[in-house]
Amino acid sequence: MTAVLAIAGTGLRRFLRDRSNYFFVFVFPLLLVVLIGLQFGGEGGESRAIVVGGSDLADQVATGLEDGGATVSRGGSVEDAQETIARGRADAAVVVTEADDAAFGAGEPVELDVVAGSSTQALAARQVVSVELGRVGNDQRGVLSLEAAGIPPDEALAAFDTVAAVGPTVARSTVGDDSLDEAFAGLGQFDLGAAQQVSLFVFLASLAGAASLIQSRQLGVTRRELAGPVTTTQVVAGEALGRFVVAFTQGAYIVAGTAVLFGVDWGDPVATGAVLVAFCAVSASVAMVFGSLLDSVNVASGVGVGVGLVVAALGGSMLPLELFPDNLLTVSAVTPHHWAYEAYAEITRRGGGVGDVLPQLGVLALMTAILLPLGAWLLRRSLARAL
Amino acid sequence: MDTSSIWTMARKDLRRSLRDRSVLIFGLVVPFALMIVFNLLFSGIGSSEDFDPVAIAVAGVEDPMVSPLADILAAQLPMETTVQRLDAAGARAAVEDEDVDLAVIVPDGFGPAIQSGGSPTIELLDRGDGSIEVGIAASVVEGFVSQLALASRTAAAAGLAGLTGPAIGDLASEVAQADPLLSAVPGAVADEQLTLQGSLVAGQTALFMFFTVGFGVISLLEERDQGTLPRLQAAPIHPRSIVVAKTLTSFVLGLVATAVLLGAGSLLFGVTFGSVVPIAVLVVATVAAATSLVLVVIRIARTAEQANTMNSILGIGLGVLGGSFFPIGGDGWLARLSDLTPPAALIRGLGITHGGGGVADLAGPLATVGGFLGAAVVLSLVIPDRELQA
Amino acid sequence: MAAVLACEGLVRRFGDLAAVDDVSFTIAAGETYGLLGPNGAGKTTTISMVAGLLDPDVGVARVLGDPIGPAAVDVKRHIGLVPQELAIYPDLTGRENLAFFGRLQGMRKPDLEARVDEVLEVIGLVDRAGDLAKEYSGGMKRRLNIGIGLLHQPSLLVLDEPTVGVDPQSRNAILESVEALSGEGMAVLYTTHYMEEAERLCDRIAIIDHGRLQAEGTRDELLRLTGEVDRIDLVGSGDLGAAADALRGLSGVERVAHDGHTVTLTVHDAPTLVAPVVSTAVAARMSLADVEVSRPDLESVFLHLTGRALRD
Repeated sequence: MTAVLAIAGTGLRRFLRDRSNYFFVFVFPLLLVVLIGLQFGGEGGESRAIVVGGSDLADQVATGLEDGGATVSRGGSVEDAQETIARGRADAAVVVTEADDAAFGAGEPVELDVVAGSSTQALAARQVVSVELGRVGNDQRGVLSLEAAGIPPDEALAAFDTVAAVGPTVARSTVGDDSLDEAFAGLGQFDLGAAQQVSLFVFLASLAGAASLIQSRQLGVTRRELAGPVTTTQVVAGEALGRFVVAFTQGAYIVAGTAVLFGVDWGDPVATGAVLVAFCAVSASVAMVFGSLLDSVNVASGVGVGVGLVVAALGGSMLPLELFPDNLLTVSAVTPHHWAYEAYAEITRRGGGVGDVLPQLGVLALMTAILLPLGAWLLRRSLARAL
Repeated sequence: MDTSSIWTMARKDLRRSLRDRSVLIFGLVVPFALMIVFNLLFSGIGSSEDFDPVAIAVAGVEDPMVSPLADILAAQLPMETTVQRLDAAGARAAVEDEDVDLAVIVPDGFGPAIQSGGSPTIELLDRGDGSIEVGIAASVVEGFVSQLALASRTAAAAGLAGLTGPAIGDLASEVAQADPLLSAVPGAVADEQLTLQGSLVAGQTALFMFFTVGFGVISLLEERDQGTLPRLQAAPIHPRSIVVAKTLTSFVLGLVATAVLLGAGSLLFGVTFGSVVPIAVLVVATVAAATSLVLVVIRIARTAEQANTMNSILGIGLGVLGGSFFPIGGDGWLARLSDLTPPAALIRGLGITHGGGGVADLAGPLATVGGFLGAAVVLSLVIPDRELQA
Repeated sequence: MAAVLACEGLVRRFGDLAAVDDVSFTIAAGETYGLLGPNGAGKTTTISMVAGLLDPDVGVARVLGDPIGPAAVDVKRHIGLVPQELAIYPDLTGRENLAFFGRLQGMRKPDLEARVDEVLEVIGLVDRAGDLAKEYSGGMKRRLNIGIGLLHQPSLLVLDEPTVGVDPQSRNAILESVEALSGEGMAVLYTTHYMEEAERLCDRIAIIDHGRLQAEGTRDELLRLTGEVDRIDLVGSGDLGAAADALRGLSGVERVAHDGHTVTLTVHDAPTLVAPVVSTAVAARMSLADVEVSRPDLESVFLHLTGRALRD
């Protein structure tokens, strides 16, 4: 154990000597969380729509969309709106021409051009727009029919407003708890982003540990350690422990930072801590596998960034797992991020405790139990080849 | 400055870069992997082809008011649909047991409730797996119900306004039969709008360009760290040639990686970016801007390691800000800042060329990139050379 | 014969420190000139100016009559530099390293290829020419490092401590090849802090300390400067400082210096002084392990001139 601690301590000391690490581990992640939060938080999930045109109908459509939960801005020209959407800065634009307004006032069916973007958010926006247009049209249809029956326009409008709540409605619900609506219910501005970023960055930072193991091997330190009464498992455990401490500190820092700065609610601290510990252990073990498998520091850092980003994307750190297609969701289960995501979701959204995330903790522990010995075995093999 | 020794040095650096696999990993493998993963992730959502069959349970459709609904569901959905008639409890159980995807439960006394001006609720119950097919079926039900609602509201309003007897019924059935007054048709999108895949390819290419160009210029610091720089300085070449050669290496690496990513990305994902000449102009300008940033970095960094770190940070920062992962929305300061970054200019420029734009249409993005390039070059000249001399 | 290298009053400051202060010397063709001095004496800065890496603040260095400096591209063609640190690309093969630097010198195929083969022969790396330099042993890397400097057959070869950290066998090989080169008419500037190397190789030697040339001449001329002094080295433990102080009071003792385990003295007429020196040292509670008496050498010259020992 002394050997393991000594190796871990040296690893930590070397990490702390390099100041640029501080930025990557402590400043950069928080900056990105803020940026992503600014983008998706607050109005997160809301569709961003543009209504082009200044007529009555345009006003009604804009009001309707706002009632339907969209963020609406008014645009002057179709070209501008098209460009804004092409650049992904809004999801959909409804174009209302003067002719549309006149026809609509006269009770003729009107088809409005809806310009939609290519992003995934645009899909939802299109849905909102089509529902709200139907609603606005129906109101007008009703009012016009009353007018046709000889009721003055003002009265017809007033009567229609009064009975707004009359008529059958549809209520949609889901069996069990895992519906999308419920899944995202109770999430604050940064909650979703913060939970995803913790896994993303902790994993990335851990993989950088592969390079430090390679350096130890290159410097001959590993060989020297093994010349003493130390086993390869102890060497790997020591290196992994050092990396684990860095990863856990970073994770805890992001959790605390987002809680203090942005009021992210992380739920039960014991449960969150347990998930973080389990996740960091897997991350550090993966780093040891790469550190034993690869012989070049440069290649290791390239592979680290690549694998770190790809695995994070697959594990739900870039897109919520709930939105994953089924087959990809199955693939995603091999990533530790997947299980951490599920566990954080259980804790932060549904108030779960340690007991509720035991399955996820179990899977993460199992991953560590496989990867760490694998790292030791690979390290033993690596010593047989020249660097 | 003699071009032959510059080329000799650049060729040596390119050879070393290729031997060190990390250029390939950072420049090609990682961005490709990300493009593929993102494409798998995002295109899985809302793709309109290949709908899965959907099973629906309906309860309470015996009510004459909703009797057409079962037929509409069975016949009018774009995917293969099976409809079972069950009672309310049975329909719920069927969803819970995953026998059906959606239950449509009409409450008892639905028709009479409407006729008496009430607001009965039809319940839709699904399994919550976010399936698109279920969403479509649900929206059909909602459309049907909203027509009913319109009729009953019209009747109620007519009563309020003083109409009586059969006139109300006539009005109600008239509006219920009528076609929707307002509907959406897909409008023309801007020619320059990239598809989802197009944005992915452009975004990842723009992001990783910064990593790739780092490999040339930063090796200047590596040469100092490993002791070969004095030897280059002692060779019969102009001192400036060394920096020029490194810059050339960066530029070539950046060009090759960007061309391969855009080319292979287009083939793999079936994306078109337009004609070659304007794309080439755009890519050359953007790679030059990315390279100029590394020239600033090596003025500030003390060691190659520091320079790599700084370059990664700037690259990721500019990439995220420039919309490599997701567009920065709205028209706030963040969006304006985003406009000033080379990745934003490249993505936007590729949109313009995709829409058939030529070099002249690229004036905006090229101006952005030119401004960035100019600022970086000035900075790299103004910042004193910290270490290279000593 | 015209000088290959002529340094005239070179001065180079880094901040307040004058790393090189008014250094002048010349080297003729076929001559090996040694710069002997401890670490930090100004050897590397002098070499940097001679090789055109640095401009002098004051003075000028001329190679074959033309001033050398960072911008003097054509003049650099006449110089071969072997930096103190290994200056080779570990991820290129030996042959690729040579070919690259040869091209930078303006050499072209097929001359370049023939010359690379020749140099590989000279440095004994023919068999390993296709292997990456990082797979070489330490001695092989050193040899490659020197080979690159010889490649373009410069008129002036500048060697900056080429034997530091080299095993005795490789060291001997390096010294032999330097001897051979000067035999071929090359002018060689050789810096070292090993006096044996300077004595063996150099036709003329300059002693440099604190950035200034303290003395210059052939080995014998330098030895004469000390006025026929002998050297006594007392190796042992105890309070060497106190012993040195005590020894300074002894008549016939000229200079005394000490480091961790050796007290070095220059004396007139060592044979008669050994006995009093030893007894004085013992009286000062130094316990002696070894006593060495040597005839005058460069070590004693350096001590005589600077009051410091040459070694680290």
